[in-house]
Amino acid sequence: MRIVESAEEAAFRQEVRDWLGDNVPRDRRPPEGGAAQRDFDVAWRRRQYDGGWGHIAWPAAYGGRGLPVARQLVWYEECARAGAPEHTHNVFFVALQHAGPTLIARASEEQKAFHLPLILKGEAIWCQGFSEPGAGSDLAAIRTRGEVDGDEVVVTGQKIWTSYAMHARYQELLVRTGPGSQRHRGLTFVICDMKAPGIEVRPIRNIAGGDDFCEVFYDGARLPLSSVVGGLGNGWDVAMSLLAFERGAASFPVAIETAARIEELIAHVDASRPGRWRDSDTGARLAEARADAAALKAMVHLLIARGSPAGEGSYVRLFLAELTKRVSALAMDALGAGALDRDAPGGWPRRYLEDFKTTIAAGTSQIQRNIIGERVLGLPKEGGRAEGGRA
Amino acid sequence: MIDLGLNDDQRQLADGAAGLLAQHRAAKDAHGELAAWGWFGAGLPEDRGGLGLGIAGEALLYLEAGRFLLPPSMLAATLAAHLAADPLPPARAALALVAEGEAFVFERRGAAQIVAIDGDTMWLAPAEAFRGAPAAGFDESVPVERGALDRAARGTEAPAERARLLVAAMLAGIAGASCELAVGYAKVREQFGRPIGAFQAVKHICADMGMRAYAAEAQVKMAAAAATDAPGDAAPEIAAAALVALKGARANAEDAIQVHGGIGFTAACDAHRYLKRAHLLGRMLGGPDACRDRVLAPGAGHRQGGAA
Repeated sequence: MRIVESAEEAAFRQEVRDWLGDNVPRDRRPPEGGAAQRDFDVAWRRRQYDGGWGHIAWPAAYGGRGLPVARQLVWYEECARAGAPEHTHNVFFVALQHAGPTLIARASEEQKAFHLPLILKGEAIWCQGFSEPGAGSDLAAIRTRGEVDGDEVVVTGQKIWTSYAMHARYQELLVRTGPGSQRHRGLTFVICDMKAPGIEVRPIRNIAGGDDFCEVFYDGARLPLSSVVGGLGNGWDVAMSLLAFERGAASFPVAIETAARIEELIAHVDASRPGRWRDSDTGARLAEARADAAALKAMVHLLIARGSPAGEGSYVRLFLAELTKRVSALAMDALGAGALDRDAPGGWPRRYLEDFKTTIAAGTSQIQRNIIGERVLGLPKEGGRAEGGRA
Repeated sequence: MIDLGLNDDQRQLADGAAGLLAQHRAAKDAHGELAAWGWFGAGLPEDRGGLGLGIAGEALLYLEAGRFLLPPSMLAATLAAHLAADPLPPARAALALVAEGEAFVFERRGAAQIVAIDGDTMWLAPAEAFRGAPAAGFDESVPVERGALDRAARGTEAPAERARLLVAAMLAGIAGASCELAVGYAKVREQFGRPIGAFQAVKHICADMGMRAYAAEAQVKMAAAAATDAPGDAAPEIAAAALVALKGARANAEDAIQVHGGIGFTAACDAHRYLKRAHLLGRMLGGPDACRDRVLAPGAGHRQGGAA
């Protein structure tokens, strides 16, 4: 139990701070989805890469710096401090927070050498292809088929709730390949080239007005067998690795950014209602949000110190998702009538709507509670189903 | 960097404390046994005969103390050892809460001194400085008297921050222990032909309890690390720890009663002990309102890491 910054760490922090001070974009990220938002995220990614900040923790061989996770957290902290574009709402979230880490853990050398630099250079946006109309929380119910034909996998079926699919070059695609495949057996994880013929992306308007949420149709799309990750039939295992990243380490930047946003909200309320808010319901909720944000960061550090045991990431994910929604709702109340303007200070009204996804994506809060109950606390399964499902 | 893992000394201390308290459960006199073990010197420097493990070591001890519902007089003795420069072990001490113009003294019988928690300060007083009468303790396992504590008799005074961190640690321990109690029961109690913990309605309560205990433990450890390595910046972390641990302990104790059903409403089930102790300790922090006020105090804002 210690909080000490070594001379090397302090120097690293200063180096990051200096670079961000000179390079953080002055323009705000365009609030609406679409090409302008994508271009903004791509430009920022490219700038980081060109500045030598492609990734703090990824191996140097693929364009990262190969530094320990503690330095990665320093990067996130300094980004939040400098008001850099968020890691959370970003077209590279999937690529950086779970596709990349999954490739590093499970992919072949050729796959890593090809894909990881593309991500860091901002040349490949990724999306996720897990959920289907009939397989949300119950991921093992997926039906999209991948027929092996020579040295290709021929994909037919449908995926849904696919954020940024219209911008994505690649997709984390989970398909059913094995003959007689059932539930989690006979699944395969394949890197899907979104430009392959036979793939159609259709946008879905979400409650916040954006249309970056999509459904994807596959009509005999042919993918090279060499794009399978972890071997045919091992898809469930690879998907579980991915979900561990999505529910664990992917929460780290979100946790840090959430804490920063709560401070912004407190500053806003203090400026607009000086002296009058502390004893109000708003004051009580802001106090709890600030304390919870501190605890959330501490949970991240406790998880790391404990070596991220299976399932414990769901403590962080559940706490984070519930806190995020609670804070956005609080902001709506604290902003007063200003909340009726979607572009009110801090973008809170739009954020309030967007944040409804946090307790649904990466496994609903109910699925996280199942994981905690069964894998962390050791409670029995309900009816023997629902092994590691997600939304 | 921030490292919330335990070093070898800390690991040994925490394991030793858990072992000691598990054995001690049936024993009557904790003070003597803990003193012999070295409990009250854990945080004191070695030149005072302590183990030199600082406030971080004490926080680990009081996480365990909370789990095992160690009486508040033990916390009083630890605090007294800091306030008085007397040789170890400290004399038997009673914990007192000074609030709303009166004093509540817990376990006064046999105590030579009183450690009063008085808003943002704590101070030492001789046992005779209290005049009052026994009351029906909300937590019946801790005898309480209500009355007046003569301020003129007060001795050494110090900021209450150490006390608040250790109380938060005890509350985090309560949050963890009440979760374990409920989970243990949910695994063995059968209804509709299966353990009730298989039903999501029960499982999800348990999951929330586990999450609250995790959050409370994490923030207590963060606050303890801050108090050790950056004492000047520790106040906001301690304030957050107090609020998160108080809420977590209360909610988990309440849920533990609910998960147990009928048996949870009986005195035979330990769940009510956690609930009552959580209230007693929570008042030492001034309750939720005072905890929130401290979280919102000027300068208590969240720091974005780094001393630079």
